[in-house]
Amino acid sequence: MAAVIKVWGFGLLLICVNPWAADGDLYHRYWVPATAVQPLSSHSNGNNHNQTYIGIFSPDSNVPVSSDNLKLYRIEFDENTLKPILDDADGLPVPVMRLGYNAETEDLNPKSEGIVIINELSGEIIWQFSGFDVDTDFSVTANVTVIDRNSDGFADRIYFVDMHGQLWRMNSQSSESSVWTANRLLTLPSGSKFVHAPDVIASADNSYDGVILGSGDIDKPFDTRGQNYLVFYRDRGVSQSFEGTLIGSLDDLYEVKFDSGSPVLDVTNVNDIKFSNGWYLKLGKGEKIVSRALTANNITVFATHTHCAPVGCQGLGEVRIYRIEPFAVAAGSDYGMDYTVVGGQGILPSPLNFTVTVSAESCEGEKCAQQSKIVREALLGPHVEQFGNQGLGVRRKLWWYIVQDD
Amino acid sequence: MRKSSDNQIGAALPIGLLMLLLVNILTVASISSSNINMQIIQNQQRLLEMQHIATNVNNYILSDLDYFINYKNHLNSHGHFAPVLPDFLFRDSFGRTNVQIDSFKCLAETNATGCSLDGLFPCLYETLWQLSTSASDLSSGAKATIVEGVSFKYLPDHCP
Repeated sequence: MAAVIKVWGFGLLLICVNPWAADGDLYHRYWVPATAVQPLSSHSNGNNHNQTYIGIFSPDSNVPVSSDNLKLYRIEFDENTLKPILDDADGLPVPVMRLGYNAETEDLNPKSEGIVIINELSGEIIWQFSGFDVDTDFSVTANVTVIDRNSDGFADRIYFVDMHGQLWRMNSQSSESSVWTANRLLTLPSGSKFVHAPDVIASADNSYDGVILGSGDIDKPFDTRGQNYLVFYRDRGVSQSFEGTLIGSLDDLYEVKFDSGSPVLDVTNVNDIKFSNGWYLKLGKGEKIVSRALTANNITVFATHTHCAPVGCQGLGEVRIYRIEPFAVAAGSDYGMDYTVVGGQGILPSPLNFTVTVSAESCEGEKCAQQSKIVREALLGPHVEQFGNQGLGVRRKLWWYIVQDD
Repeated sequence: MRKSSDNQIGAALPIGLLMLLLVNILTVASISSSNINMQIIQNQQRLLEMQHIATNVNNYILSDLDYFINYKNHLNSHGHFAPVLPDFLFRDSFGRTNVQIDSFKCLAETNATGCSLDGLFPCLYETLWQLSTSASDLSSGAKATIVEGVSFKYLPDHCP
């Protein structure tokens, strides 16, 4: 079937509903949240803000998802009320739903896992990548990352991760959904779990996209077993369908090490082939990445949590806010990596950006003019993370000339 | 013996009259030239004044972020950029000035790199704007149009 994914990116909101409140079979019905929505660029309907989707599928998780056993609900937040939208015939908005998390079976249910893309208007499943496909028998609990690389308003790629430490990329550039594919890019060692969406950044020369992802099972914050990683993966197949060689594992990436709080990078190896694939950092014992990464001005921030800090297993553990310059690390220059320990906070939420314009009127005699400064940072819980001078709102004169009659 | 005046020869009188006429012409021409030069200078001054007024208006607009960020709020019913500007921008010594903003529009935009591509922290866009303002003196007819191009770095969807 022909279809084009309209990008509805930005934030995503998850609504927890009680599935048993719905009528029907109480034992086999459960819910999955869908990625919600706001148009990235031009979309003729400007009323799509603050929406979220809830998918409920039934009756049995042992059968693949189909239009027969899946219901999709869209809800719009309107002045603090929830208002269902019954009809909206504008374009083809397509929620991308993640499938498969089940608290009891966790990630062992192979029949209903992966992602599914739905025509919001008809409820028809446009495309799915789930347990009947090879190697996708793991739950996708993290939000998907939808990329509109050419800013035409339509999704080009979707990155998603699963509970088996795997990074996937779906190519949706074609208007024919039948040729859409998903490829596994990377697999972390057994036991690694991704619960946050990957962050995707364009390189300075636009030759590749960097994918930043971190593992950590935040459902078990007290479990200090297992090793977690921060990974920077260079996806070089950004302009075409996937044709490259699968990287496969961490063995194909370069390892950046921390020593006494400072990253150690063997600059003699910066030209190593592994650098061209990406790099990874082993986190400390019991340290888990507990937020998605957010990048602006070439600075990436994310938070980690260690239940048992080096001083002992007391209180809410140790929380670190990392600041890295992923491309600087790759260049082997100043490593561009640092972290700050913030105490007594517990697990921090994912960073949330905000932009504030501070205005003041400046007068000289009767002549007054508005002066404004724009502040654009991110919040991780109560902590404000700054991204340096982004030049937001800066104007530079480029040309000037006089036109006058001869 | 008495000589008849008819026999006198010489052209002192016509030459004198001619010289007087020439001097008059030169004087008038000089005065006229002086007046023309004065008018040229005055017009030049008025032209410079118009340039300054147009430049002031340009600076006023370009220094206010609101005209970039909320561009659509400053369009009139015909879709033309028509901001409400303070009077002091148009005031001059003669008070017969007409100022008009010919156009103010975004020409192009390019997105920056080094930011989350999924829109969670939208990449900044470098936009190119051009502002053209004309000021004309109604008495002298002096008119100046100042065209300026600026780059403006801001969030996406601000290049209409």
